[in-house]
Order: sequence, then C-alpha cells, then structure tokens
Amino acid sequence: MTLEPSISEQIETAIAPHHVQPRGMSRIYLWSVTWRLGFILILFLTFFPFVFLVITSLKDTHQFYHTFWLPAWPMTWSNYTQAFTDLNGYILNSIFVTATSIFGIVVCSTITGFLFARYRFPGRELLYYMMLAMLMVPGALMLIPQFVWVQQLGLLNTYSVMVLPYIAGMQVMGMFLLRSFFSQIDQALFESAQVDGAGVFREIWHIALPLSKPVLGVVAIMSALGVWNSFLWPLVTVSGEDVMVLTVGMLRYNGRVAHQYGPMFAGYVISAIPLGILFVFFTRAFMRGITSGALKA
Amino acid sequence: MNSTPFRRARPRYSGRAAGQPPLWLIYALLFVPIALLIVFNYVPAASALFHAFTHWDPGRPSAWAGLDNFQQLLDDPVFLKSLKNLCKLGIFVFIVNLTAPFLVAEMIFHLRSERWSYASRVALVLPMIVPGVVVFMIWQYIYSDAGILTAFLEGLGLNNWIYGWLSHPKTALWAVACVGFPFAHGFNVLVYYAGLTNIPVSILEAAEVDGLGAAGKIMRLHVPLILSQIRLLTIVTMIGVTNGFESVYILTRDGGPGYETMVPGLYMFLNGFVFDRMGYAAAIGLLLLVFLLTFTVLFNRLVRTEDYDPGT
Repeated sequence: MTLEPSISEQIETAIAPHHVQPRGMSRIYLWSVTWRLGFILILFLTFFPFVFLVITSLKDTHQFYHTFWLPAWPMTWSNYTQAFTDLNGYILNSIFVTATSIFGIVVCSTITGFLFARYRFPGRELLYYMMLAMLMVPGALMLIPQFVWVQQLGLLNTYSVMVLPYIAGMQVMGMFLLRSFFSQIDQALFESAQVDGAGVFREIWHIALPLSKPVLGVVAIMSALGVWNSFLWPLVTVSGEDVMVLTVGMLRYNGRVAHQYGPMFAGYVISAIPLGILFVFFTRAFMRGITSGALKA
Repeated sequence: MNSTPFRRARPRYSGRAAGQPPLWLIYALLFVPIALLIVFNYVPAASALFHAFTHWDPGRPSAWAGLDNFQQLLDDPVFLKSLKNLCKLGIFVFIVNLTAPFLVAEMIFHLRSERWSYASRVALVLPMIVPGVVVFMIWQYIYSDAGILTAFLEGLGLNNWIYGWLSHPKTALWAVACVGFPFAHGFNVLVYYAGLTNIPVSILEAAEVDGLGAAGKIMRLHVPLILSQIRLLTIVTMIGVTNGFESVYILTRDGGPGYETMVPGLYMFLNGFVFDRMGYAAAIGLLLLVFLLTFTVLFNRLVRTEDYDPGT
C-alpha cells in the first residue's frame, strides 16, 4: 500500500519531461535533425563528383551516353590499362621528384633546425630571419624571374629544376617546425651525449631524430603535398616527355583522350592513387601535416 | 611566428661554448641550405624587384624604364578588368570559404561520438589526395555539355537554365568562383575545428547554465573565441585568391570569353610567357606582392586577437 504510490511517482517523474515540454523538445529535436541532414547533404555534395568519376571511369562511350548516372555492366577495365600505359611514365617521374625533394627537405631542415635550436654562433639570428623572410614571398609571384634564372643556369628540362627549388623553398617551413620542436627537447639529453663524446651528427641521429618522428612525418607529408601538386613550375620549366611530372602530364593526357570520358576519368582516378596510399598509411600525420601548413601565414 | 624565438638568452660569443662543435663545422653545415635559398629564392626575388622597373623582353638586354610599366598598367583596360574580376571573385570566395567550413566544423563539433567526429574529419580531408589540377579538370567536365550539371538540369526539365557556363560571358566568372562547391574544404574545416576544441569546457558549461541558445552560443561565444582562426583563414584565403590562377588557367586557359575571367595572376603569367613582356609581368607581380603585404600587416593590426588565457 505504501509502496505503490511512490513507484507510480517515480514513473511519473521518469516520464514527466516528455509530457511537460513537448514543444521545447520537438524544437530541439527538429533543430538537430536539420543540422544532421545538412551535414549529410554537404558530405554528399562533396563526394558525389568523385563517386560519379569512379563509376564513369568503368564505362565505355556507349554506356556513358545511355546509362549516365548509374553503374553499367560489363565494366570496362581496359580504360584503366589504357590510362595507366599513358600515365605511368609521368607517375614515376612524379614519385622520383617528390621522394628526392622530401629527402632533401627533411635533411636540410633537420640540420638547420638543429643548429639554430641548439648552438650559438655569430650571425645566427641574421641567418634565421633571412630564411624565415622567404615565407612571406608567395612563390607564384617569382615565377618569371625564377624561370629566366634557371634557364640561364641551363637547368630547363632536368630533374634538378623540379627538385632543387622545392628543397630551397620548402626547407624553411620544415626548419621552423623542427627548430621549435628541438628546442623543447630536454637539453640535458644532448649534454650527457656530449659527455660521452657524441658529435653533432650522432646527437642528431641518435637523439633528435628518434624523438621527433611525428614532426618529421608532418614535414614530410607537407612537402609531399606541395611537390606532388605543384603545377605551374613544372609547366613552364619542363617540356620534354621523359622528365615530365604527373600534373603537367595530365594536361596533355586530357587533350589526347578528349571526349573519351572512360579513359579520361580512369586517368583522374589513377592520379589520386599515390597520395591515397600515403593517406591510408599515414592518416594522422597527413591530417596534422595539412593544418600545420597554416603556420605559414 | 609571433613569439621571439631567441628572447631567453642573449648570445655570448666569447669563443666556443663548452661542447659546441667548431664554428667552421656549423657554417659548413649551413652552407648548402642557405646557398640553395640564395640561389633559388633571393636571386629571383631581387631580379623580380629590379626588372619591374625595366623593359625586359626575352633574348634582349633589359632597359631601365622607371615607372613606365606601372603607368601603363593603370591605363591597361585588361589589367583593370582583371582587378575588377579579382574583387568580385575575392569577395565571393572569401565569404563562402570562411562561412561554409565554419558551419561544417560546427556540425562536426556537435557530433557526440568521438569516432564519428574523427571519421567525418578524415572524410573531409580525403578529397585532398586528388591533385589540384585534376580537381579543376573535373570541374571543367562538370560544366561541359556532357557534364553532371547539364544532365542534372535536363533531368529536372530546366532546359533553359543550361548554358555553356564557362563560355558564356555572363556566367563564366561565377562558374570559376563556384569551383569546389559546397566549399567544405578540408583544411579550413580542420583549422576551425581545432579552434573550437580549444575553447575551454568551463566557458561552454557556463554558457549552458546561463541558458544561451544554440544560435547565441555560436554567434556570441564560438565566433569571438576562434577569432585567431578566422584571422588566419582570412589571410590564407586572401593570399590564395590573389596568387591563384591555376583554376582559371585550367578552366579557360586565357581568361576568356573575352577577358571575363581574367585575373591579375593569369595576366602576369600570360605577359611573361606568351606576350613576351617580362618587365611588365614583373611589375604586376610586384603590385600584387605589395598589396598582399599591406593587407596582411593592416589586417593583423586591425584584428588584434589574444588567445584565451585561463590564468587571468
């Protein structure tokens, strides 16, 4: 007898909010539903062109005109073999150029970052700010004098014209990131290594580098994105097929397969695969690499 | 970059500090990086600065021209047109690239589950694996006769809405501006999201207690507290719009139809590599650089941001 009302009271209070404020609740509910639907719509619109691209890359011309939106069978895998035989030279060049540049950028920025972080020497500040100042000058504006200059140096149509300027420009950002990271490492670590007779190189190799793997990953990914995507510089400095990189090669490929949408889109898909592989294996470094480029401003 | 990196210790150059490698080794190690920087950045930058004041045609020695190039630019209808286009494009891109990613970041921020939030951030970054050039080619296709947009409007029966978007003088510039729709650019979203997660939970809870609604929370709390992110994105977007002409180059190649999609960057490129007027091109480059530096400095002065300091 005494228990029953209290139980019903409990039930009353437990279900009360649903009864008490139906209008308020439904407004919040409506709000969150719209919010979510909007989000899904944006995601859909962002990805739709890419999905469409992949679907269409597997169609032949007839299928393209007759089943425009939906996938069509049989799938035309030969689009991919055709695109790949046309593009693999460019891809190899791009991979070579990107890998060499990353290596150079990481080596240069590790050395300069370490020296600036750890030692004092006359001219340190001057050299440091001299490097940083170059972050202020956007590359696109130097395109023409830079082009004339490498032409005078006789570097047109070589791999070095696509590697050396990238190392020169992108090492600065890497130096900046690594310098601030190295100076946060406990200096006692280096000092005890010194006592044991380690020189600069062993300090870098055995202490600084192992501790800074995440930052190195960020520098590497940032450089990879920058070099791989660069278009205008290789467009003006390289005209020979044998050293041409993918971005410029795509332009030629696009002209060759005009209006054959299957092979054209297969080429587009192939062009995204190398960075895609990098993305799958280094997702976190990739995402951090994108935002830390923000420091550039 | 705002902090002074060497504040703590004034350097004492009283010979070698204990345990430091010899000076010659330090300079030897610095030689290659600095030499690369001088050869590939400082020399061209100096050359750009100098040649902006010369008549400079390929194959001939350059001749001093004083301010000729700049005077010509002010009378050049194509250049003025390109500035006008840049203004239109700039305002549009600026609004859209700052607001759309902010809304998306808010949406992600409000997702309860950390796993979904991470997944959606990864998803928004994913399109960045496609090279920029290819993205512009995809948009060229989207706008073409056989493209998605045409097919979509045909499907809706809106045949008289269909234009050659990139070749019609009325629509070309806006077609270029709309590349990247719906503008949920991964980089911007991540920057905003980082700003939102940096807001201390105590502030958000206090707002909840004070009964601030969703819209009020966003406008009066989030926006002021991520001002430094907004400032950063403003500058990055500004630099991108002013320098970037890859999209126009891929989509219309020469700023056509007429000069409807001409932008200063492309005009510089064409002058340098097609019309063989490199001094003129250098002058355009210098103007853009001066504009950007002024903008960045002024903007940083005007919009002072102080990071929230929980200690005070």
